[in-house]
Amino acid sequence: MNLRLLQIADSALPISGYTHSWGLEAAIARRLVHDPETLERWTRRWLRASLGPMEGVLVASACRSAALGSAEELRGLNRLANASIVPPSIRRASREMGDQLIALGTTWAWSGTPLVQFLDALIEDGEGWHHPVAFGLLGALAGGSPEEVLLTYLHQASLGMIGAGVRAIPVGHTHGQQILAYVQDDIRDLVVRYSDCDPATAGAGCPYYEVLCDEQTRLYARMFRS
Amino acid sequence: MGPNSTRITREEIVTPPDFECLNSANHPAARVGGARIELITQGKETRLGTCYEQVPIRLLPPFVLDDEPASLLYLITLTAGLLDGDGHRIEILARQGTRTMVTGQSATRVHPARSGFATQQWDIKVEDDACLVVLPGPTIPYRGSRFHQRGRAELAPRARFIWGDIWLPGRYERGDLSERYEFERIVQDFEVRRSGRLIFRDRFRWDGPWSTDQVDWHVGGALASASLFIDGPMPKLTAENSPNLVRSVFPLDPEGCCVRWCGNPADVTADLVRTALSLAGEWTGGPGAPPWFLKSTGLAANHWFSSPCEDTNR
Repeated sequence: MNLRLLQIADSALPISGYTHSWGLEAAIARRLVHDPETLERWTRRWLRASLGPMEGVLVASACRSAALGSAEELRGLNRLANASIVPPSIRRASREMGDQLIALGTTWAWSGTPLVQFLDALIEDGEGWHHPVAFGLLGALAGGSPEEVLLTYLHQASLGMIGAGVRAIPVGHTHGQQILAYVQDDIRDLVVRYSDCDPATAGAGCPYYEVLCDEQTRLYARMFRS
Repeated sequence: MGPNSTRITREEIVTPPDFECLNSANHPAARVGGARIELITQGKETRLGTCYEQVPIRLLPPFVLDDEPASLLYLITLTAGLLDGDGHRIEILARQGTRTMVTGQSATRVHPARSGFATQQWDIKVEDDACLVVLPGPTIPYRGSRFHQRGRAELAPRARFIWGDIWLPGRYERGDLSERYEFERIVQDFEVRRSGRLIFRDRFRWDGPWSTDQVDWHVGGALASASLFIDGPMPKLTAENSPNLVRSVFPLDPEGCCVRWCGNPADVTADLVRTALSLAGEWTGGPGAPPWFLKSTGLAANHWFSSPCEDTNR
């Protein structure tokens, strides 16, 4: 078992991840999600239609680029993420979580030194790291293959979404863990589909989901920042 | 890119990875055509400069109306729409100071594909102080269609640019024959760069037919979705949540903005057009200036972008 991958897959990472629900809170406000069944459906659709084809492709691509030592490719992926993630709340969340993850990685013995060459490349831009790019980079430094790193990322992201649902709907932890178990086949399918994709194909195209992400920022009382 | 009279060939048509297993070139009736368009200023008017057109695309001479600050350029498609294997390439070079709306005469119908796919590909350059609005019109993907829309726009530092897409679910009001999100695949690949830097990207692959669950996720169960990219002074535009449509406004980073809609086709179309042309009107005429073309006394109210409520105010 790859303990380094296990570390970056921790449910407590990235730091500040627990403050985001990626649009779920607006879906709850619209009663689109209100119980374990609808949370499972929401999580599955989010994975398949939004996260997998966009962030998932970037994670695997970043892992490959990092394994090749190409800081330039990583910078290109970061720019691609910035131009493609349309809701500002999600874009900010992605950058904040990416920066937090990289900052943490610089303090770890196994990743600190090799990160230096990549950090220098991005400082010029001053844009910060988007989370899927940072995750793919650290996953490569952890010795993971693109398939393993993408699997880890999708599992961790599912855990984050379900965790937000457990707190916001709310549903019980038992139901939450059941949902996580139910989406594992979806995660495996997505790894097969997206681990070897051209990064130029990354993108989702879910206008209504984006509208919900925007609505969330105007909720009268909300628990999450996105 | 540069407007010239070089024939448009299939070699200029880009095939996305999503359609690499298909071969549109083998279709015996497939047509490759398009236009290379240069927009120039003559006095205060925007006119065509060097242009080349290739069947099935034809250009009408731009409408230059007395009461309008911009010219209206129609791209006419001589066929029934995009058929299997068809490839249209449209190049637009908006020279410094030009003011233009480029549009199609009606919705783009994408017919069913048997062995290949249909594609429309845009290559746009906007020079400093030019203001270009491109609204191709609604896209209607028929049952079993495969469609690739590709757009690349390069903006000079002081260029102003608006691009709008409207996606309909198919021929949706035909009783038992209605098509609702029964296309086979749609690939959208649109990028905007300012001085070489990527500032906006709209890339997706929609695989159909969609289940009810997928329709709900992507478009909130609605019959239309739309997207407007705006780069210029920011609009005073807010989100809307009415029975007929939802609209959100997303500031981009470092510049520009994207507006998304889901809702009733007529309402979404009217709101997108009003947003785009009102903004262009303010960019060229200052605050409070009328929208381009919507209140013109020189245009009949039968254009796809004509707004019924605007007509009643005339």
